[in-house]
Amino acid sequence: MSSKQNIKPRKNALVLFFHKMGSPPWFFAFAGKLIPWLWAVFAGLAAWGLYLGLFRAPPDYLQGESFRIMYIHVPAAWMSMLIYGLMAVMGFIALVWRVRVMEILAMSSAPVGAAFTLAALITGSLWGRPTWGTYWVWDARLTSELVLLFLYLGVMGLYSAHDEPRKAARAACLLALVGLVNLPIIHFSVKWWNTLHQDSSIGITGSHIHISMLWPLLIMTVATKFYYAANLLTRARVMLLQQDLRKGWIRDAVKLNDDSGLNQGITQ
Amino acid sequence: MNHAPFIWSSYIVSALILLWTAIAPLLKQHSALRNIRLLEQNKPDPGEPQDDTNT
Amino acid sequence: MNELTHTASIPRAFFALLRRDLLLAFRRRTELLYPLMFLLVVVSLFPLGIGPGPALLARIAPGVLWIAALLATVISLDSLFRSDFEDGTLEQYLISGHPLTLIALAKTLAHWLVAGLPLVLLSPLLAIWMNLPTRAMGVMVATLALATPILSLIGAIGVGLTVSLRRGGQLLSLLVFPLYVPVLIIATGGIMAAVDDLPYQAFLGLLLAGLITSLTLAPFATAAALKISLS
Repeated sequence: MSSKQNIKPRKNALVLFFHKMGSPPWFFAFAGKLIPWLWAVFAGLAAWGLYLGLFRAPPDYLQGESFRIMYIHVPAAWMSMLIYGLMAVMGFIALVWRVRVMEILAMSSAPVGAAFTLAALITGSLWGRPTWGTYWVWDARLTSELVLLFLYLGVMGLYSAHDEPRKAARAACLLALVGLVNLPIIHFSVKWWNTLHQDSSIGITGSHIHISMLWPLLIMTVATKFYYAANLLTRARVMLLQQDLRKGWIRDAVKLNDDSGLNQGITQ
Repeated sequence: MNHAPFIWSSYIVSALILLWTAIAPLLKQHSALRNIRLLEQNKPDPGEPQDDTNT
Repeated sequence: MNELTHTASIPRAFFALLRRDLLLAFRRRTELLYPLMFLLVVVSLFPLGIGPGPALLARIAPGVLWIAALLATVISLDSLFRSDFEDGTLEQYLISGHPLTLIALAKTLAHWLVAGLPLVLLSPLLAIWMNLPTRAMGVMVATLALATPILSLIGAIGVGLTVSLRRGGQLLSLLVFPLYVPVLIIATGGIMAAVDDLPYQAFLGLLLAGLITSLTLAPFATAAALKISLS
């Protein structure tokens, strides 16, 4: 540590924070404190965004009421892609630096991403029926989402197929990385393959978007990120519980009083 | 065509998916904690060389 | 056996491994025919299931041929590392001191020679069955020739990840299918362009680029996958 005396204390603290988070007991405790706040922010934002989107935004010029599906479909689709990217980055860190907490975070991200992808697919299909007349079209976005779902399922399947958790996680992280490299290629080829779907990222209604329609979308976008964070940390903690069942630090961690919020489970 | 059923079903399906995604780990957490409790009770103080290292 | 000790040069090791795999494959010559027979069966199922109408068959020919090629490749991939894994040879390769990337490349090449190349050679017959217009025949063979190595290379990554699993073969198709989608789209796009008398060179160019990219990158991923599976 003496070599770090020349570094400003603030930078030292940040590095220290990351090092600490790599240690399961620290991560477990810190995440436990964070989770309730994340859920609270998610609930508040989601309620606000849904209220604005479902009841306040005026009906669309072209699509009527059905554009309201956008407020769940688009954030879900964005999250499905964001989570995959994050999962791959976490996987990269896990593979290169062998950080176990990163392995757990990456593997915990996969089901959440898959859930968002599924939601995006179903809402996209339901949106398509009143808009284009059919429940499914092989357009660029839906097809890409479908392939993305298969990528997620592959990662989850590979992880659950291996017996030893760390080896399973490393294999699945490598697969996630390979998938990430392929994602742009897949998107490009699918997009070329079908130009039906309007591909502007926000405007299904193109230039008709005005602020009262856009605002709920942005709120829901941020809300889903808090959902992901809360769910991710919950799943990561549970995975640590399952894997480190017999280890000493677990017993100490769950005996802590209500900061971790786990005592309710113990006393049942 | 009435759009309302599509909107409602979109939101309900999404809510169900996200609700299940949020709850599933809590169920596992419950059973994991139960296992820890059982371990505690069955071996009051095992004294076995537990792997206490924070790997 | 001298070639496989770490004192041997890299090219010698590479060709020794290639020769070994090809020899082993040819000793079980009948097994080489399984993917080809599968290919024949699958392609002939389409007219039987859809109806013999020539126009319809011609229309779906590029897709059918390519899907059959994908399926046949996935089936044959499982044998890529499995027998070596089961008798411990793979671990010997790992500790042999030779770069695992090279070993992965050699085995992938052997796989393509044994499973991919016959597919390319058989394809004109299948194209005739599917009533593919003759002007597109050359492009079809070209797409298969360029892209079946890509299938082997990318598939090898999937096999590397699943080789230690009991039911790895079944998971394999789920793993590689999303990675094969771009290849399928571009290859069939090229054939369809040729059928419509449109320029097809761009498609072949893209496949060539894909081949070069996967040739340089995939063996590293395969080697990493093998290291994980064998750990």
